[in-house]
Amino acid sequence: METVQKWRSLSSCNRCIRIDSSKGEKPDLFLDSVSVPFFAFSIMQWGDEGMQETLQGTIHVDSLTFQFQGNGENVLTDISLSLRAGEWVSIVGHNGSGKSTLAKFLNGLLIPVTGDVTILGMNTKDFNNQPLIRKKVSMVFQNPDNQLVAPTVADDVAFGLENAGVPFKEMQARVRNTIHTLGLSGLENSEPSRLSGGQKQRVALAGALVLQPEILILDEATSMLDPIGKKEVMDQVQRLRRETELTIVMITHDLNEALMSDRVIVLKEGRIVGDGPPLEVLSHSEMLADTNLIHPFIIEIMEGLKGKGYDLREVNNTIITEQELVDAIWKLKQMM
Amino acid sequence: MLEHIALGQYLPGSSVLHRLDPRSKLVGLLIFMLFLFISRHPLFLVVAIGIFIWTFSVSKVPLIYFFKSMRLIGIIIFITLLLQLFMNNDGEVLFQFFSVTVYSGGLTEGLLIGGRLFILVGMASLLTLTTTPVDLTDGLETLFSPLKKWRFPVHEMAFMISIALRFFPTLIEETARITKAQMARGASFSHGSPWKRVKTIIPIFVPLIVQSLKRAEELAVAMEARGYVGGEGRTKYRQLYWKGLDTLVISIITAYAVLGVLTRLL
Amino acid sequence: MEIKANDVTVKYMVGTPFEKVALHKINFTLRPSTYHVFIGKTGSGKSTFIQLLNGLLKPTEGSMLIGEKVVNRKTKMKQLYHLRKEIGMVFQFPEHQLFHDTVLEDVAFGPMNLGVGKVEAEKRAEESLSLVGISPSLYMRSPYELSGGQMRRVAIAGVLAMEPKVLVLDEPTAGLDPVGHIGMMELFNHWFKAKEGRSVILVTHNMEDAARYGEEIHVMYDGERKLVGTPSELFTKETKLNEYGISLPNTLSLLMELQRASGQALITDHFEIDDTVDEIVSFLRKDIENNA
Repeated sequence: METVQKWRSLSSCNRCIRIDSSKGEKPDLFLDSVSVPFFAFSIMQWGDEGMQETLQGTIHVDSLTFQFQGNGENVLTDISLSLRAGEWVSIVGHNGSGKSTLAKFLNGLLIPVTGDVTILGMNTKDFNNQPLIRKKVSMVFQNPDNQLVAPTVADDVAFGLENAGVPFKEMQARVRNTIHTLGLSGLENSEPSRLSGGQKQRVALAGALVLQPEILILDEATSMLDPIGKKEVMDQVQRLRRETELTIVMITHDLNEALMSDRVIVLKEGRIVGDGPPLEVLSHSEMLADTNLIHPFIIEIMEGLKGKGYDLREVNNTIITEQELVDAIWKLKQMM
Repeated sequence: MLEHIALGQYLPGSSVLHRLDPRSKLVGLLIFMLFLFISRHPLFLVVAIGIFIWTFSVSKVPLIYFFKSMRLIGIIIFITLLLQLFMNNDGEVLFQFFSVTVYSGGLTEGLLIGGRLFILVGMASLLTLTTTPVDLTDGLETLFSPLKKWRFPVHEMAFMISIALRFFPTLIEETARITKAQMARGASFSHGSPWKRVKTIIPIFVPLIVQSLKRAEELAVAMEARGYVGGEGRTKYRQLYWKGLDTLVISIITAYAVLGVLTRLL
Repeated sequence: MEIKANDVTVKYMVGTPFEKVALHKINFTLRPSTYHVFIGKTGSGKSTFIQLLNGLLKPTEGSMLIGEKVVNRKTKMKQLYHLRKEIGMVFQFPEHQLFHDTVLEDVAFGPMNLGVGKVEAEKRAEESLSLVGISPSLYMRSPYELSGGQMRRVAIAGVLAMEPKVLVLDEPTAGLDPVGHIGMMELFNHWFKAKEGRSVILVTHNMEDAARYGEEIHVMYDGERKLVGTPSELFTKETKLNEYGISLPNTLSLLMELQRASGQALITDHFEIDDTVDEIVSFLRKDIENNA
């Protein structure tokens, strides 16, 4: 069994880093030993300037191990990772793989006992850092019903600003702008319980973005939505990736969603078993099968064709949409 | 099916009464109620009835909704009236019916008490019909904010009410969902002895509590993630605006109160 | 069991300004012993329809014929009660309905409500628990100690233990990971095929599942059933489906796109990955026709 630990950049992805791939022979041994060197490795590659940026601009997790009280099992085991500024990272894994728990460490909702989490240069163990971390890292949760606090949309979007003590005039302008950007204009005075699932999650997203965070964490934010709602939220995430410098961490088990991001981290039973560009990580059949995940549809087709002797990656090695897949098949045929 | 159930009985609208600041409405109502029973002078009663009718007509609340909201209290008022009619034996005998004698004093007392009770509850009803629960909470929070000096948790109380308002529809929906799920599993809530019926509540009650606790926990985490640490240092997005109209309302009500005191003393 | 809707209208909040028509004069028959799938946007009337099947809702107008039983506005609640033996219903997030002290008791709750004795009910409970893959070591545990996926399977066992003839499933895999999703769908399919005369009525947003498992697919839109057909019949009506806000299964969508881009004729109604790959391979091997 192989475990993916690749870091090769896509030619189209200018924000990804270029690191040689490495492979472990035995998964367990490999997992235990790789995390720390890997962490050091990536910093080394970025050089001085990059390192500066990383220390201020991202999240570092260093040898994080965690278990819930009164339960001997590790929820997370020896997790180490670094997120770069402006990166869109998907953390995927089966139900119960620890991905949502990990998410709660990434904004200081949980504080490590073993290991460290540093957010924008601030260690989460230092309680004095909490207020600033709250301002810089925003989070959207899974259940739309359980995160909207206020009786109306506008009040809810304003909630974080109220907590931060933002003056009324500024608050008013920011709430109005954010509501407008997320396409919620006209719903300002609606009660959350009368909105659709997609609308509720967009309100939650607005409440997160209005704080002008540097990092946005989406904890399975689409998993309870219907296809229309999912698309509403994903369209917003893609827009944010295009138009802002926001670092986006997306927890999901929808690998078709993960495919759109810049980097995928795969968790299995609380350990990182894969980390790298989506196309590579999500092409790795054995690792996915081993982690209760399934190829995204596009990759499934490409792998199937490859099995029959048609490697579409020779035509285009950055296929992630249906359109690109169709174009590549058609191009391949014309080349034959 | 349940998406239109909401706490309170607010009727959306844009009448003068809707636009008043909740503080002036609350304070106005309070003064109106406090002084309503102070004087029985006809002039004062006419003024009180006048204020009531004026409030009702500017509220643009349809008569049907108004009476719907008064249904329960109507019964109580009716009983009060009957009690007065039968128990009070002041004044002249109006008529006798078997062993029941009705005196004129009973009639006037009954009408006076019942009528004032009706007006009193009617005014309160008009307030809730024209003010959103959120505005009411806001108004109360601001009015009570001086109490913070004595460490009375004004913000926390108001915040609790506001969260309750937010989650009331969700809870209703949840109850309906769980009830249906258990009915689909053959649970029956309509037959059997009282004890059996109490027992049938358990399959609804337990999941409801479990879900609510889970909700509460997730909500608490979400609030923490959004930087909530209590009322200290918080600004408010909801602003209340005191307008000329509000001052006018308070002036009228004050005049009414003064009239009440004067007619009582004279 | 045959299910028939005769001019059924369902309205909510009748007589208030909020009155809403959820189903509008629907008229159709669901064939017995069939895997039915209902698709349609949120609010199209799917959820309302399935609640008519076991009497959780009564028609405002018209009548339902469920097997031998007629349900209309006047039907007494007590009579509806008997429908629940025949029609098993798995709601969205069924794990929210668990309440008993132990897994076994919770699963036995349904059969016991139907008047089955305790011993027999527990026997049925054990059978359905093993069917959904819950190991006997968990029978005496509290359902709340289980993982989310296990809880869901226990809840489903609770419905299966009532031995229904028709299994109604409302988005039964919401929130499950991909492998959990497939496992769950295969479980229902297995149940469906295990005995003659069983029906499944699945409500889903997942077009791949609809195409893979559905024998008859019904498209709901705006409180009416607009289309019906086998997956091949239905999913080739692309423009109609667009109108009703329904996307295509990804395999078929890919082949359609390829057909459009290349101008070559393809067989597009494939719903399995392997078949789709084979179709693409044969497309690649075929000589380009001149009309391209």
